[in-house]
Amino acid sequence: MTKKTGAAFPYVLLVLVAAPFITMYVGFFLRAFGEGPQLGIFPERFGLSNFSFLWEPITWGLAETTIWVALANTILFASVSGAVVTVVCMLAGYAVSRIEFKGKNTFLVLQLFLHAVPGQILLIAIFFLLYYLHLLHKIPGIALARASLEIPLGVWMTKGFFDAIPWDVERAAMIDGCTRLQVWYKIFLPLVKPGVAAVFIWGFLFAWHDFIYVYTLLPGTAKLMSTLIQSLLATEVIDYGYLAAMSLLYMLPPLTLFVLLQRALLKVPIFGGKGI
Amino acid sequence: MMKVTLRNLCKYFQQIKAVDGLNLEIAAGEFLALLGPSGCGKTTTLLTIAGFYKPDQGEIYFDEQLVNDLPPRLRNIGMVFQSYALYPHMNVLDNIAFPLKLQKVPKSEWKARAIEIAKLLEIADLLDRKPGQLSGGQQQRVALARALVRNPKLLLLDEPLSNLDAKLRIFMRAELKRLQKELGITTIFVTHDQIEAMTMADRIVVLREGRLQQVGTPDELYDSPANVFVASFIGTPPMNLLDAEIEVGKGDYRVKTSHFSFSLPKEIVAKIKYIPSHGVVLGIRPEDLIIGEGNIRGLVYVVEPLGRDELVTLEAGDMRLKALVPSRLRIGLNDKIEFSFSVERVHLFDKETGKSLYKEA
Amino acid sequence: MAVSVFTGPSIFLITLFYFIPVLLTLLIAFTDMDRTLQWRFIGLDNFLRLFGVSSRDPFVPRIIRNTVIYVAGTLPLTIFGGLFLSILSMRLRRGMGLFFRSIFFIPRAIPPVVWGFLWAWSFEGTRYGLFNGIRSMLGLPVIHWLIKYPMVIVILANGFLGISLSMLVFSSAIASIPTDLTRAAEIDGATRWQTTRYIIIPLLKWPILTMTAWHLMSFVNSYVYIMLITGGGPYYRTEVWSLYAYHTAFNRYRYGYGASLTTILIVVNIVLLLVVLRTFGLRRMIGRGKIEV
Repeated sequence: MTKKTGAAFPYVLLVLVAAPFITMYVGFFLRAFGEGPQLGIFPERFGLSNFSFLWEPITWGLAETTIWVALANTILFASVSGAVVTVVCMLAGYAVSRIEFKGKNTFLVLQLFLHAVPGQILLIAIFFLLYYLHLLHKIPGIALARASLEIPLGVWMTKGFFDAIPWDVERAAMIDGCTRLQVWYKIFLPLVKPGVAAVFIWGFLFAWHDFIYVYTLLPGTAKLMSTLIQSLLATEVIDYGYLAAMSLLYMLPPLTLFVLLQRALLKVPIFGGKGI
Repeated sequence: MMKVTLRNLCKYFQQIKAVDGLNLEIAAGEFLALLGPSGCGKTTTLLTIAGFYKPDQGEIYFDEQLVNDLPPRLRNIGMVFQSYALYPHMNVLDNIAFPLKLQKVPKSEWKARAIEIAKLLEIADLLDRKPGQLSGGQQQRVALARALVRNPKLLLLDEPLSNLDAKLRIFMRAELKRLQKELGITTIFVTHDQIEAMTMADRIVVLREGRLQQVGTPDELYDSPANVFVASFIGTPPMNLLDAEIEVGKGDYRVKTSHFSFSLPKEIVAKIKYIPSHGVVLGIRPEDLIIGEGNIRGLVYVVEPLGRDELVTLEAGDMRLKALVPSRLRIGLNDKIEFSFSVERVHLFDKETGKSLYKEA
Repeated sequence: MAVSVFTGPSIFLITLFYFIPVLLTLLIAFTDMDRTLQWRFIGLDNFLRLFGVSSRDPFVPRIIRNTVIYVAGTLPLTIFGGLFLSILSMRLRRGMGLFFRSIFFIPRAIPPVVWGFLWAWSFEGTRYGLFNGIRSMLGLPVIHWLIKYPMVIVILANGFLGISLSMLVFSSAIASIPTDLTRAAEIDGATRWQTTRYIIIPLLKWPILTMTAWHLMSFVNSYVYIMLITGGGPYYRTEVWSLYAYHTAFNRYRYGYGASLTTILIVVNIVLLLVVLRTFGLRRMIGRGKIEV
């Protein structure tokens, strides 16, 4: 008898802690597909009217946009950011994994330090920097700044991928006549293809999720998904069902990507999330 | 000293029957080996006896007490794991004393007992070290000390020698055997190495795919294997196994293979239980082959020097036979030779069931 | 040199978006730059004001208090909560454990805006908020959570975000403890709790230390989620230092003063980094995390 209670003990505790969260997640989901006022978890009736933003323009205050513009902006922002992270980190990761150069350890330690310092506290200065570079209010420029945040960890990540390739592969390629750059491009990149995909998705996801950079550096009516939702949240009368539905759409692409590429991504340390 | 009884022990993992109907009595003070290839269920058996797995069927008794539902910590057993499982954050003394501390033994006493057992195992000078600073042999002794410190009634060893280098392994074989006899603790150890089992154990249990193949002393297993599996598993180099048939004539049993035939001597005929109609397997140990005399012709295919002896592979008809011969015979590759074997030492098995045709001794 | 082809781009971006901003922040901190974006150096005025030497900033003591309370709340919640949940969930069957770990990992898997929205909606002070809706269905009066207990809400929302990472790290550390070790402890007579206390937790020493250091820095600098949930309110009750710096610059357009607040934060970060470095040792930071003893 006591053994039974002993085995159930962890379940009871976990359920107690998890219950509010499960309530929140379920309530959120039901809210998105509910119609009419919702008290507690269950809406009055189910329907898709919350998804009206798919066929109607979205307005807040005096501004107006459509979901497709916001989605296109977000895709552009996340893709540029992901591509920059991938190229830059794949290059640097190869160097720290394979080439002996002066200051290599300093370089690696520096990356660790930078990873520990959240870049978001530097936003005031970055605001001015982009202003002087004439990149303020331009999505690719902001994406470049956002991508830089992921470089420190990305370098360590790609280093890990390259470390796993035997040295003999590289030696053989060099005997066959490759330069280092050719080795990188012709031999290593194809070998770490899942790694390339992982780094890209990882850079893409953080940019997709980003709020504060976009919010601060891209003011005005040009909206990405995150800032669009925030704007609607900041209005006087908040339509929670509408927002829940839009949030769901916002989360759909990353979730799909994650489920599709789970395997490759599981090899990646999920250490990011500087926005805490 | 405690006796252990397994009655129809079964342990399944989904569809796989890891242990299937095992019946076994382990006498008090006995040194028993569980032997078999990997995946035969020997470690599962050990972990079930330890209490980490619950039997799906059957019972385990320690003396007369049914222990099926007793958690490991209350079974009063000692165990040495294959990886030794020393606690990396504790020094040697704390590792050894850990079981005593859990029993709330006062400090002066646990310290004395730990030191005593450390002295017995000759590791008393290592007490301040961390496991990471020890060699494999030292780690094993610490693990053994930890297992013995609380005077367990049963000692379980899971592949205790497999992580040691070859020389140390031979040394520890003898050491373990002596220690077990000295302390008189009932001991079960798991191994896949038949030499280890043969040299150390009082009795050996051969397992295959979760089923008991044979239990017996090392000599019994070697001299009268119960089936083809045991015959091929026990003994290095392994027994030669040839397809054959038995023809019964007037008071004469003749064994015929595709290349040679011979009459069974009377003492063997007397042991035979029955003659199967579908053929037999003839087993000849390599050391029972006699090279240079006899009426079977063969060709030397490979010679592998082993020092004192040579392992010679012979080609005879469509068969290949291994023979263990003294090196001084100077046999060369591709030599044409004649050979025979000691007919009174052959083994016969049913071809279909693999079981020995001999009556049990 | 060949190597610069590989390291060049990363060094360029890091210089551009880490080092130059730090220098720029230090420069702006000595100006009274406002929305006209004119550089006018005013010496130490910003810092004097900040430290209360002249024309005192009345909010500073309160902001410091908020920051201390916030970090002192989130950090233990993250570490002990993560330990608690990982130890418990690792005891369950694989599938169930995975289920609970996924529930607690969701905060990190969803966008900050959605996490903020979830909390803002769940704890909204009217019947249309999730928990108040449930309360009113049960006939209980609504609670104005975000007005009555804003700091508690903010600490919980951020603490569970921290937990999602620490739990994951601790769980994988627990999973990497060889089963033989816990089995050996059981053979030696340890109960479940004793195995946890004497074997598992001591072996988690290294991950616990890294997670503590990591989250300490993270929480000192964090403001995005607070901004999304309470906006620092009501009336500065959840305004922490980094959020105050942000608001000063981007809501009140006092970039100079905001930069001086950030400068303090940068100094705090450097000090923290040095402390962490001394405790951990450089070698261990570069070395791979194994089970450390």
